[in-house]
Amino acid sequence: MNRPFRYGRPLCAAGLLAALFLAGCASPDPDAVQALRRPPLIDPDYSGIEIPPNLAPLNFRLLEKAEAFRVEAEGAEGTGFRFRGRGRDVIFPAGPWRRLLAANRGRDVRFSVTVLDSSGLWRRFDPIVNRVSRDSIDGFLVYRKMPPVCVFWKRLSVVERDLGSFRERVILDNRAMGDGCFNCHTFHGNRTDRWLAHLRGAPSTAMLLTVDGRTRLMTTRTESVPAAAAYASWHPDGRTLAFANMKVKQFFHTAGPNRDVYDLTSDLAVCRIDSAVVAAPPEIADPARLETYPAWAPDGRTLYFCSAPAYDTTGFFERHTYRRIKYDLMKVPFDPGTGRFGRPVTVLAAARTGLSATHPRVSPDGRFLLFCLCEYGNFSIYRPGTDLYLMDLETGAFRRLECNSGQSDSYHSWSSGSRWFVFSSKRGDGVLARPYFAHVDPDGAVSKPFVLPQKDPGFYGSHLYTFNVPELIAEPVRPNRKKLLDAALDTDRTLKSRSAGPAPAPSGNSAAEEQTWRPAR
Amino acid sequence: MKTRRPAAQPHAEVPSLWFRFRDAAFFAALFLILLLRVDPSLIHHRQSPVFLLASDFAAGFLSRPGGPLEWLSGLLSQALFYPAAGAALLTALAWAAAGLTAALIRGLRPSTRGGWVHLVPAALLTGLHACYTVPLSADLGLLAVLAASAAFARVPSKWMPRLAAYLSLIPVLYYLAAGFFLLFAVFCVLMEWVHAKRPAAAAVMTAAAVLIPPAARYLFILDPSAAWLSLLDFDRTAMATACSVLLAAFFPILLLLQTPALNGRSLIPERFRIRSPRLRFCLQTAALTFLAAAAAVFPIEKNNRLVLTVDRMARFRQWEEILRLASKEARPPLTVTFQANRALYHSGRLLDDLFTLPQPFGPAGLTLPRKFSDSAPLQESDFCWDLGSIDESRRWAMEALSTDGETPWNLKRLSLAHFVLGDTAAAVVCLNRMDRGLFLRGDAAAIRRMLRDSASAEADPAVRHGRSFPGRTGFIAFNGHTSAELDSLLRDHPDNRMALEYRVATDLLAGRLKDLPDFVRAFRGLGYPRIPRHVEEALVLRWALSGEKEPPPETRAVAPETVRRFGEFNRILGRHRGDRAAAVADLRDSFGGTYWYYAFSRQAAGRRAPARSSENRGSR
Repeated sequence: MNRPFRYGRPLCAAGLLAALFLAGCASPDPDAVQALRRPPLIDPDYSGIEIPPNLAPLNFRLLEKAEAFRVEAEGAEGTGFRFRGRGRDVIFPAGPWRRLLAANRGRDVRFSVTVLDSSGLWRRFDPIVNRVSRDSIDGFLVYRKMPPVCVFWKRLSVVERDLGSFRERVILDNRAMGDGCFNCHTFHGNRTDRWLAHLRGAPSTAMLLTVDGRTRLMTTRTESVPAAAAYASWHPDGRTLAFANMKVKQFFHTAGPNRDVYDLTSDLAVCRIDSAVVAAPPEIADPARLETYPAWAPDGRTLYFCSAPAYDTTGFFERHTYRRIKYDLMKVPFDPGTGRFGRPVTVLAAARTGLSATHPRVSPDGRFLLFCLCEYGNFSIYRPGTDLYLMDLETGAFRRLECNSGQSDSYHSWSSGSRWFVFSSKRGDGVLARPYFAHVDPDGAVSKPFVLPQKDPGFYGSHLYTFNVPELIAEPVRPNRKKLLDAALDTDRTLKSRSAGPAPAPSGNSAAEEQTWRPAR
Repeated sequence: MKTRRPAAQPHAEVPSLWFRFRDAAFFAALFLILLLRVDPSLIHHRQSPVFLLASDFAAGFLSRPGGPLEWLSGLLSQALFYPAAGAALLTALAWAAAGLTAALIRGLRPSTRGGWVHLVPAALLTGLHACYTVPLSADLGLLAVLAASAAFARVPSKWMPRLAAYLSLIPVLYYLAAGFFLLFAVFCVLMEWVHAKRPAAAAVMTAAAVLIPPAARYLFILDPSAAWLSLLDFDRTAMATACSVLLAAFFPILLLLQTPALNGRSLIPERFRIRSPRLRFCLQTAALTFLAAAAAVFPIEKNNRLVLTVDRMARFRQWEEILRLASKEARPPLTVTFQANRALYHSGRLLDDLFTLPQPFGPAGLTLPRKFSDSAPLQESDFCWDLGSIDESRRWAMEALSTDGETPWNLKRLSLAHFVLGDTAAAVVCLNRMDRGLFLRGDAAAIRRMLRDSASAEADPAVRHGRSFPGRTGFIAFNGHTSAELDSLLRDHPDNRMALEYRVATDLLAGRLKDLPDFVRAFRGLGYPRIPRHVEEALVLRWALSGEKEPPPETRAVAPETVRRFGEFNRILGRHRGDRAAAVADLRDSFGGTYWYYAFSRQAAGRRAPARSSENRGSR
């Protein structure tokens, strides 16, 4: 059969598709656009927030019916830009985004979204208005990424995220370290020349300590400090560490919040890292109390910590003793010259709030103290009622922050400029912790928090890992991952600490130690 | 000019069709062995291979040596879920290994045709998979090595092209197959040294191979063992180790046998050689068949297969099949007893037929012992779900997620548990993850329907059950499902039948009869049509031990037949005054499935037996 134009149908179809595509991409006719008197629903919620001027694009997903969209970003300086895309994922171009933020410090930026629905109608929403902060945030965020571990762990990594882009860099990966556990990466003054992480199990139970770019293992266990170090804090001099040493126990409820933790024993100790001398003076290692979560003030003359009276373990579960363990917020003066502590003082008594204080962190300018209050105990990330509180250290006044949610809002870290902080929140789904940022102005007013932006706007909707212990740092982690791994595996060179004095009686209750968290078999 | 084929080549006197037929029969046999004997679905069940169509999932694999093959292994392993598809896949991989081995042999001796040696790796691979723990990355790694070796063997035998080929192949192979590169390196070095007689080139190749893992340590940040042995440390059981060592040794031996010094000569002394090529063909075929069968049969450890089979059946809630299998075992492993008891409960027969199945002395087989639950968290999650303890079920599913990754079962359980507990947002995260799985979209869609429509949620038996016993006061779980924990469940929900029956079974197995009257009242309260058989038996025993003439009130409801049979039991027991072993043997036939027999044999074994009720006080 003679078919003079046998490609006619496919070509017509292709032409039609191309026409439709072009129509979809074309600018909407202003007369044909239907105006909706509300801003679009988006996920993550990046509306009405304050944005650090050095943050990566806040990509989001439109929770509206949309075949295509058009976004106009407007700033006060005429640095706006517009772009369009198909589907519902709004992914900002990095260059124009950077320029927009840089040119609009201290001003509002508006994002006008117009969407094409399936009936071919363009709809314009009210603009999303955000404010670009004058204050930059530290450029990097370090966190531990892991599944929501209860008892057994298998895969863990400590990751550094460049906040100006979406680049993630693995710092520590337990796959290369005998599947061991690590926790509580702690930096000296938001810098990385001196920092540490605690290793557990494999390759050894020790502190991976970096000082001036050189890394080695160090153990802090001595006769006076029998348990491995945890929850450390660097003294501003960079040569003294305060840390907690405790026996942790975990148990599970069959109704309500499932996981729970208590400290069987707990004390604080200090370590002079240049001489590897560890001391646990009675001011911070009182046998009658459980001390934990040390945090130095920026002047180095005060150590904040949390402390609860030691308890009787008889009928611990039957009598719900664990619910009565509530930590006071304490501080103790410290003389950097002599290395001696003064008398501890209660900053905020649990009796006053009826709640338990955890995770005190002083802002680098020394003005504010950010801490958590939870129902009981000291493992606030497991308690859904945990909230962040801010205390003005000049007045002693404190308040529950507006940025809290109905879920656990816990572990936090200050940016070096004292104007931003990051915290772990389970507000998304109640199970997985995500890092949220909030701005604090000099008067202590805190902005609406927003989640760490990701390149894929749907990232958090299908990511089953939790972001643990977020710490802001101003520079990339040093040394590189290879050197850190070599140091972690070089257990023969482990620096062993020695005790500065006689062993005090341990605080709390001595009981047979069972490993609370264990590697998967 | 065509070269004349050596007379020793088998195909000279045996039609080539026979070889093809033999190869086809060999692979058909492998397929049947894999399908009927090994059962690839058990490999899938044992390994729970994770595969998601997600860029972050793939990125994790591409950033490390051996990752690409592991990713591919994860993809292909999904086929193992279906026994026939799995057997076909494993057979195809074995066939590819045989084909590449044949190509390798031809590369070493171009005149070689036919023969049977190339089929040996296929049999060994089948043997490896009969261990259930070896991932498909082992097959793929071997195939990559064989392909690279066959290509190398065909490079002109001059040092420069060979070295160039080696240096270009080995980093690629290392990235793809990690530790498997060692096999390739050994093969190439031997080839240069023994075949080509170029020790200098062999030394250069060795040096290159030795340098690669340290370089990879720097590039990919690996620990030393991962840099050298990644993908090779798949299993440490004796049989898997034996098969893999044989497999690893096969190729160097093959190469050495093909050295020029031996070329064309047989290692078998003249007088033992079989002259007839056809007879030789037949004997080789028989040996090959035996090898295939042995490789598939010997590595299977019976209990291992039984545990996997029963566990998989439990996942699919095939209770009758479990009971059929368990009833054939005289001393089943504890995990099989656990699933069989679960099957009894779900069949409504726990307290009627518990003692018809072999039970250990004590309640150890009733719940998953701690040392097992630690390594089988999803099974523990299943059991907690059955018990209506959904918080604990979710907790164990999280343990499973942490331990085994985002397997289909883990994601499904977690999403359902989150949903039942009202954490809808968390359920949606799991469902979105399930959408990235190859076969999970249907399940995800079904759960999404339930999220949207409460009527469809109520129609789902799993969700309905999960919502039946919401935690009220709750208790602290210590992973034991002890009597105290079951009591706590019953305090929250006295209508929790499983908690009640497991509570009663725990006491029966432990020889505690004190609380039987309470249980009888609970049965009545829950509308049980009659007292379960074992409880009747225990009531009669308790009455007998009490020394009372008149039966206590709760015992009066016991069927007269039970009382009569107890009398008979006692009469037989009386005949063997003092000789407990003889009594146990005599009672087994008529009373083997009764609580009386269990209690007596337990006593005969020197364990604590049911005692007078007064002595039982305070045992809870």
